[in-house]
Amino acid sequence: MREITQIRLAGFGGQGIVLAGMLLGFAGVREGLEVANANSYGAQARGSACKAEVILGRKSIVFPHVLTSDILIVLSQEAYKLFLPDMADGGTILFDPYHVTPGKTPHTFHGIPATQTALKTFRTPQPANIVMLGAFTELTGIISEANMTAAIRENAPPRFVDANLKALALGIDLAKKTKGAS
Amino acid sequence: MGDRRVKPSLPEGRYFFSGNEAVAEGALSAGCRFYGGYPITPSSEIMERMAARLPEFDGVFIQMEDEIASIASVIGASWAGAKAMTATSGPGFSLMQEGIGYAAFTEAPCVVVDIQRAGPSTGQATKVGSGDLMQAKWGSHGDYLPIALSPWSVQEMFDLTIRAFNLAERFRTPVFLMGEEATAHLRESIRVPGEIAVSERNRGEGPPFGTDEPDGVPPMPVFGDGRKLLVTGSTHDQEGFRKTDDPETHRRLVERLHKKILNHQDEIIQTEAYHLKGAEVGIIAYGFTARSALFAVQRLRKAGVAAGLLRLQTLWPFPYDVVESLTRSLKHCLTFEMNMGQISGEIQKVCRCPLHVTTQVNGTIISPATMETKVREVLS
Amino acid sequence: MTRALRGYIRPEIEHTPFCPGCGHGSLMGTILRAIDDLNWDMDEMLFVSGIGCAGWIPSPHFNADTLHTLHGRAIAFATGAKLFNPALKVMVIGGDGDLTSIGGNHLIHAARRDIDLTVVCANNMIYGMTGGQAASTTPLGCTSATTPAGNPYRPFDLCKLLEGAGARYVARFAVTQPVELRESIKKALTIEGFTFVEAVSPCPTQFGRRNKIDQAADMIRTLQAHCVPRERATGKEGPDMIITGEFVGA
Repeated sequence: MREITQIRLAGFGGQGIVLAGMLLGFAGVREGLEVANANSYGAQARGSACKAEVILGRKSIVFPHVLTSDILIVLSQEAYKLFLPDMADGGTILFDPYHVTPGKTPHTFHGIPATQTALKTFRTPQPANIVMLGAFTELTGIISEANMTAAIRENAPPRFVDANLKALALGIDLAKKTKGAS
Repeated sequence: MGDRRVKPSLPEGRYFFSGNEAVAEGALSAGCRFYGGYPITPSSEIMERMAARLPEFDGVFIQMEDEIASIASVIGASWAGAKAMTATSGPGFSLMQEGIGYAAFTEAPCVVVDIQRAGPSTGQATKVGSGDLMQAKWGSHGDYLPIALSPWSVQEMFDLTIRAFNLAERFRTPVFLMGEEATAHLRESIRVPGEIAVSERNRGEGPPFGTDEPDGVPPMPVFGDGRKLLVTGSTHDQEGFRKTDDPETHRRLVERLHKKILNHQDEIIQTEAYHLKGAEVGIIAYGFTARSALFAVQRLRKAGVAAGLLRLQTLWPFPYDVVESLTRSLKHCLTFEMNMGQISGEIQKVCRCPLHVTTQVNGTIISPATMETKVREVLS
Repeated sequence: MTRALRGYIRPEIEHTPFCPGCGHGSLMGTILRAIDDLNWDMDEMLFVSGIGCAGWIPSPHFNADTLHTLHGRAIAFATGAKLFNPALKVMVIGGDGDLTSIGGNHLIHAARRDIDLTVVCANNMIYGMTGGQAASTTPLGCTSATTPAGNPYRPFDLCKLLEGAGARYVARFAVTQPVELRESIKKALTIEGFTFVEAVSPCPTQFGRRNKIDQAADMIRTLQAHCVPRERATGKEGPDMIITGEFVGA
């Protein structure tokens, strides 16, 4: 991994974007990395476009907001449009095809059917955020599966821990298939 | 500073906290055992964590009916022997000002955290601002000198909260932690050490409201010590008796409250210098804005521009000497503030080179790019 | 002040600061007699007061820990001290303007929370120290410095207010009923939880002279004539009458 990795998670309010960012941050700390995490706050987090920024560093993080994202994890078309211009050249975009139809840009795209998978397995789209985290874990290798699992176990709302761990595993599987396909 | 080594509120290690959570843990680590407060965005998470955590330390938490009552309860608890705090934001800080003056005048140590948001009035309640700094300086009526600290990271929300308690106890005065929404809601990895140094109240003998030295900090017995304390917000002699008609008593008291801060600035003031050696252009910044400034300075240095940063951790008493001595060697000084130039006015008083002030009051942080551009403009 | 109570007063104190005919000096004695009757140790007590004439009843006079605070805020200060050190026996003494006008919010919330405080409100129905302005307790029609044509607003019935707010003990007596008042204060001090005693106190200087009761003795006689013990009250008393007695926790 590079010295500083800038990650944006985005979607609309209610998708659990902020929680996913926070869990990624907890996992980053477990990984021994420096972490900064800034989120949408207040009414914003409850509706319209919602984002979480996570910076992972092998050294101390001077400026704690994302300036250009190396990785975008995106769960709504609106958020995709909003944050595409801030992507680093050659950056990676993990998108959910249920919500996002990407254009042709010089980035690496991974379509992760997170919402569909969540609906099929849990009968609710809610765990899509964690499915995406699973895919992120598998595709980037920045955070180990063990640390991501522990972060969820320790910090997700207790009554959803089991569902979230299952969602994480599903995301990892989906990413493995994506990797196989590409 | 601090004269006693203690274990912090959490085991040594790395944690992932929001700034507000870090304030609460810093307070608990420093020995805070009383919290009285009233909910207000963007500070409420401090209160919520104290509500959850204080009982584990046999501390007292109470949600009061408003911010006036909050600061009053904190001062009452302080006189009962507690290291006590409250946290609020602009509107609540306004309501607390009369109580803050009372704490300053009766020399009741306490910590007030102000998580600043964009004002005035209700303003942008969830957005960042840094417009309460002059209120921290002059908010209550009459003459007193506050101590105000400015954290720039979640780590410092923890560290400077501890320092705020230490300064409060050492100098028997209210101390402000002037946080900002951007740092309060930011989450960062922080390091909690195995031990920290804390200052404890001097409850010893001697008059509780006066010293032989004109800049002294008297001992502070507490209620229940059997000292039959006489505490009043009226002008009082060194035993606490109201002496409102005596010009000399008032003069001596007000001047001592000033001198106990001014004559100990060396102990209080902290600043940090980044890349200032050989710098032609210096940015002076504090709080979150200093994060942007350091990032900008590092980029400018890489591009061959001789830029540096002076970061102010202490805002009151203001580090005039540091600023004056730095600006003697600079060709240009730049300031960036999320207010209309509150600290720039202080810098202007002693600045020895051209000063370029950039203000931004739109509820967003000032970006490193804005700063880079300004520096280049000034140099061109 | 009788010799027996001298020990309850700081040795430096030689006299009270109150005007001739003011009821607060009498109330001061009544409070100390109640404490003396209970044989309480003043070193375990904390007296908290705000701004106004009644704020001076304990501070600096009482030979105990005293906290003379801001206008209206005494109860909030007392709440902090009491919660942090529950061993302190905390009494708040203040006037009607202080405790029930500017400080009304703290009063009702402390009662609601049932904080273990005893609040004695010296009600003289006017702002005395600031020069005779109307308070939240000034009777309808009465003249004050700010109601020259007569007070157009109704006063609080403080005992009903505190009963509604949940106080454990609520009583009202005039300083002209020193025995009942002393017993009431003793009861308030010994009942755990939030207790409230309204002590109606004459203010000849500000209330009396503005309402054509010129002599201090006349103030006292008028007060006595307007007090009706609740046992004898018919329910048909006019708004100028003062019903006295224990209303909650008797």
